[in-house]
Amino acid sequence: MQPIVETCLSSDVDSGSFRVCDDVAFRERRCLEHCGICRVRPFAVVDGALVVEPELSAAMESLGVEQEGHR
Amino acid sequence: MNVLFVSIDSLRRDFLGTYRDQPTATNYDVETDNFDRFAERATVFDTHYAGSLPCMPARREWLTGTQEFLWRPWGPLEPFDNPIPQLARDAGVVTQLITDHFHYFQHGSHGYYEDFNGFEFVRGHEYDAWQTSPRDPPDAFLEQTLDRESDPVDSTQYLNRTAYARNVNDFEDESDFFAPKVFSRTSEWLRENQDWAEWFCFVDSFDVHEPFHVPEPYASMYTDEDPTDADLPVWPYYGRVDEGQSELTDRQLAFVQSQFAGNVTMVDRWFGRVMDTLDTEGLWDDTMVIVTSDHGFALGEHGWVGKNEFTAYDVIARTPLMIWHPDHPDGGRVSAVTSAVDLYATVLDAMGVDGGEQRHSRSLVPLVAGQSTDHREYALYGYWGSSINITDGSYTYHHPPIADSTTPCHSTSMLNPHSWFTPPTTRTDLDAGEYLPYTEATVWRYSEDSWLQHRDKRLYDVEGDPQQRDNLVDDEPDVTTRMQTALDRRLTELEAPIYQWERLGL
Repeated sequence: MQPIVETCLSSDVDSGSFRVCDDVAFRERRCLEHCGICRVRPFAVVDGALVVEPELSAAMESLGVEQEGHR
Repeated sequence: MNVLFVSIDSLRRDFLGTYRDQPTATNYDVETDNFDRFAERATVFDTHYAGSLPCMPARREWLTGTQEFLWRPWGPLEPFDNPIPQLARDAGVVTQLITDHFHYFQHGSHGYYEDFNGFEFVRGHEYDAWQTSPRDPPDAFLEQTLDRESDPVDSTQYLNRTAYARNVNDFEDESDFFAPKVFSRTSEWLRENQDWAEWFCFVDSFDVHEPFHVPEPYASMYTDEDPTDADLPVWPYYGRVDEGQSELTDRQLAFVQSQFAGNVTMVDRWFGRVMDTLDTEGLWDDTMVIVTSDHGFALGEHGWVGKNEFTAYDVIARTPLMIWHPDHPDGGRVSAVTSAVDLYATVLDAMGVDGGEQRHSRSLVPLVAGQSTDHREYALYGYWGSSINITDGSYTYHHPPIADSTTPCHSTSMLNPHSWFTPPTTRTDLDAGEYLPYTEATVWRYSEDSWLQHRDKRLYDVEGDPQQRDNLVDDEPDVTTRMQTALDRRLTELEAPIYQWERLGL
């Protein structure tokens, strides 16, 4: 099953930089309701689970995603 | 004339018997005897739409007559606004706010309660920064309300859902819950304030907004499940029901629907007590009573739960509105297209308060009085930065922004438009000027990313297809062109900023 990575507008993670990968489904949400985490570090939700930096980069790498960087 | 304005947050109109026998989301009837009793007395609006979405933008529409989403997002009242409580008290009308709506007291939305002569804040709902103990609320309830990874009990982060579990930890009886307190206090206020010559009372109930945490008998009223089962959530995340953090099993979704329904019935019963007070105190003869909501809430429709993230379907934007006017007691139904922003002029009209220019608002009193059957040809609605939506009551048309476009924000103080609840930020990428057509005031202006609720243009026939399942944008080119022309004309009439045409590709 294709992994799903959810990001939001304020999460300081540029989902556009992920979309080079066809094996992962990216979803940009307006808000993922984690504003308290969002204001202090980059995060994404990977298959329903919250992942914050520095674990986020490792998680993306394990999914085969080449991340071009944060905005 | 007095005005009692009752907002029930997130109340879907299809859950009210006056609009539909059975909600579209359930296969059972939901008890709303008191709202239905009110509807029999009131004028019921059948084609009423939200304007600026979601919660606080709706309140700025009601209280200031500003359809703000073309210019700015969720935010505070602006210094150039003329809010009803300020105008009313300047005219000698005493004003009162009764609410359990934490957003009034949270980062990102100041200025709404300060002008009332009195305000009562019932503490504890949603993320209310109220109780800090017990640090470790009961495990079973935490399982129903939060994800321990994102909301650790030992974290001091903003918007930690543990706050709600702490706030309700001592709740025992129905009377401890929020709607019972809000409406009980309303009844008390009505009884205690009859010496005033004239009053405006704004009752803003956060219920039926999530979390859908209700006491018995409501928790078991529409489900055979154990409402305390740790596998059954009362606070679903917004998003797709079939994937990601918002994923729900069919069983979980059915439970969420049942708790929403229970919340509606709880609010209905306590609203009924306010109606009883209006009866016993003889207040109907000199009081306009307005009952409405800011928006709806998707309970699985189109595969979504929540709001904000998807097309502003009617389940979100077509809201209930019922108005009792003592000079026009015949009630009845109004089919004309009306907009949330119209309640500003309606309240001022009823109280005989001169609001000067009424910005984007048009009084609904002529419709209630039967003096007119027409009001608006089209209603405009949406979220700042995303799609702009328009309806004539027969069709809805939803026009997305161009991908990767930006949307300027105009405000004297709102500088973090995608993260309303966190501490204000500073910016260096802005300029200032007289950018708003309805004021000479100077505002900050800066651009932020637009966001997509959908990528395609959408047209729905809401008379023939009220669930909005079939996108007719290609099948009905004449209607699509008419709605696009109407959108263009309405933006022109409102003197919307030129970038709106650019970001929409119009």
